[in-house]
Amino acid sequence: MSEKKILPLSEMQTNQKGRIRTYSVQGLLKQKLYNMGFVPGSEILMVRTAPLMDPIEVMIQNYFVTIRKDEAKIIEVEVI
Amino acid sequence: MIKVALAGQPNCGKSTIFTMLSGVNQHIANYPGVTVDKKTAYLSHGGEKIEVVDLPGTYSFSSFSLEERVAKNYLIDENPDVILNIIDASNIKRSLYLTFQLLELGRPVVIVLNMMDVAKRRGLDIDAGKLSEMLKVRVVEAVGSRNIGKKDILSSILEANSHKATGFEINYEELEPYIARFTEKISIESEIAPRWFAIKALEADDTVLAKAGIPKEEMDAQYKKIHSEHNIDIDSFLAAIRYQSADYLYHKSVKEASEKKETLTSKADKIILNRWLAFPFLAGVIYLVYQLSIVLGYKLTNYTWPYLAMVKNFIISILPEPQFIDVPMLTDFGIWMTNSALALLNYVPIFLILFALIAIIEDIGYMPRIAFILDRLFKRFGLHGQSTLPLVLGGAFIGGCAVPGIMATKGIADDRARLATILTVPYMNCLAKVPFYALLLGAFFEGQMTTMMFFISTVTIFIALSVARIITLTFLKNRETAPFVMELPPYHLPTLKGVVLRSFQRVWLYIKKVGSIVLAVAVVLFVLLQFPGASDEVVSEMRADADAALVKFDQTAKKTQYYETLKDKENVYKLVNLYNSYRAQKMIASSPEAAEKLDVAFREANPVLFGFISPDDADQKKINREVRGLARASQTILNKLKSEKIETSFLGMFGKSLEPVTQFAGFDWRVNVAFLSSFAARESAVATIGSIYESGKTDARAEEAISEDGLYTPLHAVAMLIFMILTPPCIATMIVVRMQSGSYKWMVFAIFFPMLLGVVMASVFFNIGMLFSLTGVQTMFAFYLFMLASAIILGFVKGKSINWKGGYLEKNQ
Repeated sequence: MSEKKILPLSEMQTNQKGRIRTYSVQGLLKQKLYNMGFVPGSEILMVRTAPLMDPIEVMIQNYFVTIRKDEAKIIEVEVI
Repeated sequence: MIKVALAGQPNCGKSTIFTMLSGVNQHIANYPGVTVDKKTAYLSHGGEKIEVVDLPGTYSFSSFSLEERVAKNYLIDENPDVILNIIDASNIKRSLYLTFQLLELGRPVVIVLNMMDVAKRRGLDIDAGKLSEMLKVRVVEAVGSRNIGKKDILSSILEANSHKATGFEINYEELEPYIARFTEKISIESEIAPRWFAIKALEADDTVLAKAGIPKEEMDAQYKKIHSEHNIDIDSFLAAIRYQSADYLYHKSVKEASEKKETLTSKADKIILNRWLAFPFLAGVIYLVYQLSIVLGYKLTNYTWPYLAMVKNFIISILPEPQFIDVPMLTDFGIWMTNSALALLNYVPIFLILFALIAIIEDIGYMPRIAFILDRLFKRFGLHGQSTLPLVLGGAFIGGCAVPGIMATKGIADDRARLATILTVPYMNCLAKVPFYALLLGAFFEGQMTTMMFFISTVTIFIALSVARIITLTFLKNRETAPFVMELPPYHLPTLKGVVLRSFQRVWLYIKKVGSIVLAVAVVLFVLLQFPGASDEVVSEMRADADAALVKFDQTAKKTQYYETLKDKENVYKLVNLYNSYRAQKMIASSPEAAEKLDVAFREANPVLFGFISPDDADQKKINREVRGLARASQTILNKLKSEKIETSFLGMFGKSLEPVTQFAGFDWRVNVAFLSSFAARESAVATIGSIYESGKTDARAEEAISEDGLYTPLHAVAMLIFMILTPPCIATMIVVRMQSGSYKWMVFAIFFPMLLGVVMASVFFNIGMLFSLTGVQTMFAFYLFMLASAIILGFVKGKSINWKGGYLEKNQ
């Protein structure tokens, strides 16, 4: 078994799968991220990057959501 | 009456269910104090009357967005008897997140599993019975787009109404003691379960804390205490438990097909959102929308115009007849109002197509994808990917309306981007500007219409972006911004009913606006243009001209056998009117047969006088020639009188007083008058110009009148176009800006900033054009390049970006 690989969501490669780790977030972004299903322990799949390289599209809780890299970089993901 | 609240997450197909239940019988209003649409329908089932209110789609009941607050307040204040929770059957897991919060309200809930067909296609085997058993509520399967499930939903509502809610509870583990404590502590007079209030209080929900009279500081302390004792962050903990519970329920009640097929949406997005294909595809969609709505719509107006002209002719026919050059005030007023109304109604075909296309793009699910494709670009200018829809509605494809555009900004959670969008939407090409463009292009650029229209329709986006960047770097610098996290919903085929209904609703909204504000303004303008009126000197001069023309006619008539009839002045007036009316109707006659029918009808109604219009013998021919001369003379005199009247009118005086400033842009008082009236409602610019130039031929369109006039060059026209592109919003838009921005300050800004910009730009490019003797098209191109360059340069100016980690002072810090 290789070592656990942990990186910010914004740096995941297309088609890479991961699990969201506990991350620290405040304010409006916190409410929004939790409401949209970015809760620790959830599986997440990097689907694609927008044609202009930002934002990104991910699959979480079985649906697709787009998030800017600025916001995605605070979410820590363990690659699986 | 059973009060039913329709709740669900965005993109769950809530509106198709609402339309299925209500049919066309929907009432649209606003929730009190805000501009969120509130759709209500009244229906009856099994002898019971049911009121259905469509709540805004929300992912949760936090206070993230206006929609969430509106939905929450409605549920707390209005105590609906039954909550109808719509769930996207193909996306149950996430949908349950909201469902749990609805169930915690302790009101009877009916769950509608919508889009069952999509779920089946995706190989999901949903056990509705199991779901119903676990959640202890009624679960109905439905396909809103195909009218499946209406009866079941209605009878479930009746059943749910006659039973008590069955207290479904999620176990929040470590938080339960705190929930219990708050349940005791909070006493709010409401049908809603105290447990729900307790949970919301723990979430530090402003609305609930205010209602319960718990100070925010107390909650903050509580928050810290829980954090230190249990190492729990309440928000994260609640969300995690809800999602875990949803996951548990999902796996208990849904069987996924063993091999997962790639969904159609995924396949389609591989092309539509592909790095290389996304832009060509988007450009294609925009081009198609433009072709279908504006180009085809404009062609359609050629077919609908004759009908409107018929209405106009009819109205003129029932107004008091003019006595040669003495036109009764009532007749003038009637024609003025008819012109004002018809100038707008003429564009209804374009509206219908445009709004239908936008509804289709919305329903398919392409709108958030446009945001996905373009967000990075918009972000550079301080806007948001979600600014796309407001800008498109405002007229990104040429021809929209700032009112729905600005109203659509309410969905933008980012306050700075939202305000910037509100203030830039009015720069887009609203449909009411289109007639004005069409008028000037038709008059001055007939051969280059396509090129000019391309410049006009695309330059607006550069202007909007430049203005957005400038105001977000200056006036809006310190406004709060919000995260960009947006669902990309599965693609859905739109339903014909939904699209047609929305298109008509939006057109109706527009017509209502026309009916009230624009016509009211038309009355005011009429007064301002009519008074104090031409001087006595001019009037008597004109009368002398008229008398001379009449004497000339009389002398010729004397030499004919018909003098008996034509001795009477009344008959002469009648003859002139008859001639004008006949010409007008002959113009719009669609075929030779129709023209022949017209002749017969006229001859029957006026057997004697019509002889002079369609002459047979030599004497009649002689008189015919004179009648035509007389009609021409009266027209010339009336036109002179009219422009005399406008020049000396209140509005004319004001327009003249502006000439020292506007002369730099080449605007004379007439143009000023037209623009002044356009501030009231852009539509009025065309109506005013049309009326100023109205040659009295009831059938002529203003384009012809202006180009025949010869007073302006194409360069003048370009200066006018530039000003019109930048011109401030109409009254209705100003009111909406005030509503959505919440302050008069921004409304005033929205009026004067564009006005200043417009005069400056028009002056600069008018003078550049003069200086280098450029043609109109070249000057327009120079303006275009300037705006393009300005947008590109401003796009590289870095704005203040938010560091999310440390950017906020928060309750739990």
